[in-house]
Amino acid sequence: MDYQPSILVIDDEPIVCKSCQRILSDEDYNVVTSNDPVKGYQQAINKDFDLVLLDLKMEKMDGIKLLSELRMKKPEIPVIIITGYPSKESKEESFKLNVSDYITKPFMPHDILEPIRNIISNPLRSFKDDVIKTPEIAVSIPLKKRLLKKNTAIYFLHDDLDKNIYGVDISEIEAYVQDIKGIQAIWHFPDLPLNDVNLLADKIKENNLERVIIAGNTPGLIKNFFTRAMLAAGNNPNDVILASFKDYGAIYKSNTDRAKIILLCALYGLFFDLAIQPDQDLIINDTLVIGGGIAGIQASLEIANSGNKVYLVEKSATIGGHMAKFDKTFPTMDCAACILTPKMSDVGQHPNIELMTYCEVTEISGEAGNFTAKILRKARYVNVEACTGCGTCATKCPTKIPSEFDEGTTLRKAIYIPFPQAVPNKYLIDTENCRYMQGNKCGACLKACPVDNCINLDDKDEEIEIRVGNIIIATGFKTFDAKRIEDLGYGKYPNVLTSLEFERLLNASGPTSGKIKLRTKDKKGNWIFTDDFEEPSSIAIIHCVGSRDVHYNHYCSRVCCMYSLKLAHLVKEKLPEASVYEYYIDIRAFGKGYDEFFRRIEKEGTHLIRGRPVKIEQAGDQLLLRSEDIEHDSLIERKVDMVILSVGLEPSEDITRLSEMSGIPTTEDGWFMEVHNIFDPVNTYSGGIMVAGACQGPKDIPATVAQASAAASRVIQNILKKKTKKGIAYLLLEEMEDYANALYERRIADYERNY
Amino acid sequence: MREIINPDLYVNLKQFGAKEWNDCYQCGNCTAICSLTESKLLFPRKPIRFLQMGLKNELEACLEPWMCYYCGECSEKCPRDANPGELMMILRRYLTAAYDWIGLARRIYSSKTWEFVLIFILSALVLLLFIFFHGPLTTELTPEGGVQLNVFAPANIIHIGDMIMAGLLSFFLLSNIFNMYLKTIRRKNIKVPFKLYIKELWLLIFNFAFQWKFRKCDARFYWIIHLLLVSGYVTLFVIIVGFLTWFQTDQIFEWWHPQRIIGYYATITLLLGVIYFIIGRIKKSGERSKYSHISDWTFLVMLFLTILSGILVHIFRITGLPMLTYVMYVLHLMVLTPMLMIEVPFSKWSHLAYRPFAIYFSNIIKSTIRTENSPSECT
Repeated sequence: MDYQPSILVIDDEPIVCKSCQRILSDEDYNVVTSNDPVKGYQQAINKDFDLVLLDLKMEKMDGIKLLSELRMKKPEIPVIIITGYPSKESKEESFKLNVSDYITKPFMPHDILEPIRNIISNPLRSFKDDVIKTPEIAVSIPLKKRLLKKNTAIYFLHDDLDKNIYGVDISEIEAYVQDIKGIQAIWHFPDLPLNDVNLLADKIKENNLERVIIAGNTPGLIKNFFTRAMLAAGNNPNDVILASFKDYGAIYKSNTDRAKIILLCALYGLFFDLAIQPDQDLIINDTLVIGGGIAGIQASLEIANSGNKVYLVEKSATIGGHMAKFDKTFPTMDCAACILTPKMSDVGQHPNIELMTYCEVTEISGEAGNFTAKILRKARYVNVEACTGCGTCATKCPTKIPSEFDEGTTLRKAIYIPFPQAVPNKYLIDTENCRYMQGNKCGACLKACPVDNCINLDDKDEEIEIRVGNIIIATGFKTFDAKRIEDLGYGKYPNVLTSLEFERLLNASGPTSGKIKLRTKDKKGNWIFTDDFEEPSSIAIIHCVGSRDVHYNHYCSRVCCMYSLKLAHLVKEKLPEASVYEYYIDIRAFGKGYDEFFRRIEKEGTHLIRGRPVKIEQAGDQLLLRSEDIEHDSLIERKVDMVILSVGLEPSEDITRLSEMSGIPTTEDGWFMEVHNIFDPVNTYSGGIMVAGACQGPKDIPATVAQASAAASRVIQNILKKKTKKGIAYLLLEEMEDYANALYERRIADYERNY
Repeated sequence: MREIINPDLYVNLKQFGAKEWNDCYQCGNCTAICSLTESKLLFPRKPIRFLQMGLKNELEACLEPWMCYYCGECSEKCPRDANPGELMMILRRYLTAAYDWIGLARRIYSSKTWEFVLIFILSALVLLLFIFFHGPLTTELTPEGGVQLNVFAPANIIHIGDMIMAGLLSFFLLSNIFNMYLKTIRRKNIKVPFKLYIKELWLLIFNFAFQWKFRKCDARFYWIIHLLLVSGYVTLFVIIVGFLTWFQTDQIFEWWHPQRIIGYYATITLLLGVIYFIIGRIKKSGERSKYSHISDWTFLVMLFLTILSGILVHIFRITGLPMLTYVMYVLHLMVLTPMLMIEVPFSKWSHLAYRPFAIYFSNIIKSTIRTENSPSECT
């Protein structure tokens, strides 16, 4: 410790004073002695001492009288009575006056040093000095050095019999807390069996325990054992405290520091989130929403409607995301564009939403409540204010490229609008494919455009900085690349499509205006869909492509069963004579109206086959599928005209970049890690940054919209309170210790004020 | 029909090498990719389902495990890594133990002690027989310079021993096959017209000789090597059981003489086959070689040692080294006897009978059902 505790010795025998002085100064205490009780009393009141050693039998003033008067002026100062005439009455009276100890003379140095040491380091006895002594004068006692108020044992609940707690490093945590005074025992799960209450109670009594702390990932599982044992040992059964690592996201080895602090807080009776996630002022009310799919749109609208400003940043040229590509949505068969475009135009027109499309967030700095985000506005080469969306430029553009929005089923020009209902409904130039941008002569669009100063071929990328208080990340997903499974022939056979390609085919704004046709080749050998080709008479839909598979993604992508059924329904609607075969492993129809939808599809005559084909082979003009029909105990080899692969959902390509930028880690599957999957799915450990939608995990549209609203409500809460929570993802061990110290000291100060 | 399930069925299979059985989520990928599956012959998913559900009787009545030649494609394509190929291998061991009415097979598969003690007992028996009954250890050579092996071990006496062993083997094997018939056709209560047994007999012989179904597997090279090995084995078996006195001669013929050529052919094919399979298991090159149970190794190793000792007997005999010849001959018989007596009726080699018979029985059942239209079960 950096300061020497000071002790006042009041005894009218000089020898006692001298010997006390010698004993105590040897131990580096600051000793002041007084032979005169009256003078000693004055000193005790006027100066700050950590402890007073008081004799009882003094001529000038009785020790008990001195003590009672001292207690009126300084009720909290620790006092140890040293007397040569011990008696039961004086002992009782002294303890009534709240002395810490009663020692009889003559005493050995040890008899007096032990109690003094205990008292000096016990915070409750000397907290007042801590509060008065500001950090410049004396360093406050770090939490770990303080004596625990109750004798405690720690029980580590391991996750397996090999003594692992998944994620954090147990030996480090144990080493961290080992030296704290007051810990009587540290136990580990397999060594101390739990089912024998009496054995546990004996151990508790043996170690003089008053409290047990259970530390682990799910300590609540065994709380009952200890509660019963404490009761059997005659202790307060409520003194069983849980230190749960998983609850605060300490689930990786890199979070071992956080786990240490979780245990530390439990030891000292602090709430971890109160200590480590203190509130922070929300400096700026504006919010940044990254991602313009349905999640981003919903969240922006919710926040904007509450009267606060939102920056909605979307990296493609239009908002709408994947939902804009769908034809109909399950289970109601609502047209996706019909329910999405009103929201999209709301966003476009909302006074509180600044829509930044064709922009990417490149850097996030600052802290919760006060972020600075750098945004790269990519050059559109078209003036967004001036463009009327007439489309004349596109008719003159000579370059044709497969359209990304249409999943390659149609061709677009180099100057293009992603789809007719795009918001903003403005054109842009694709530099990689534009002839002029690649150095060749062109400029057809410029010549054709009827508006002056609309197309600007010298446009440049721009970097913008914005300041926001909260961020919501809603960057969505990408579909599994079916080319990775060679056996399925995607990319090899023209009539093997992914579900998204088929959605575009079905859509009225797709290549065939919504008619289902077989894919064929054009004169140059490219694969195209045309209006005037044949229709398929049989279509097979294969589930679980890239999902539920240890070789690709082991999770279930949740939405594919439902959208496969939806596609079957739409095929039956448009081609009533066609046969539709659904090859599945299980049917996951988990939501509201989903199972009823499944029954409806069954009744429509779709053949639902439990059993998956592994290979797709060409058999003449058709595709051959060989699979088991498990429910009918047979093997079927079927030839169909077209196969649709129900591809799963994967995290988007730039999730690594986003993760580094925001500090939000990704879980094993690659999706963003939320604070708690069940209780807090929108919050993250990076303060002030929330996640919403499919980027947190694959989900259907109703769940995405709900989650986006939830994230928005959290943001609005922060804006109303003018406070946000500090993020703990980046905190170092020392910083967390400081926070815990500070909370502890604040609590003591409160205690002092109130009592 | 009420069926009592056996919840401990999996525990039984652990002794045959099964580690995981619950990973399979019944997607049917394995059945779809297998080139040998047909309607009414669905595997590996279906037997694994019986295993998961504890349907012991159904499993014992199942002929499907014998239809599989372990190309390993199912294990490659399984999305759960449930290892259906290896589970089929384990089921084959299980069925071998189930058909064996004596109970030795189960012990041999589950306990290394039993296996090695039995090998030791049989080897010791052979050794003792030689110690007490061997002919004179003559060091006189034949006019051609060869060892007079038939003085030490007269071929006609050895021949008697051969035939006793063949008789015992056949008895055990055939009785086990009868047990297989009881558990499969009889248990399913399928009334098979007797003529059908005769009609389909050609199939039994054809498959036994040529493993015709095996060639449908994608690993055709494996079928060819196996076929060569079988041809070598069959040749030697026929010669030794039928014509030992002609084969075990002290004369040294020219190398192109049938007695030598046939012997060389058999030896080379056997050797190549065994070495190919051993290397496969050491390098774990394909799915089928990744998991080796102790029974897999004892089979290969004993066969290899038999071939090796046989080669050495031949070399020592024609180069005129009497004592070495006699020693090597005894060793040869000490390895050969346990190998045949244990492996053929009670362990891995039983597949030489069970596979063709399984194909035979399943065809009989299929034809019967076709004519009778009775409900289909696991054939």
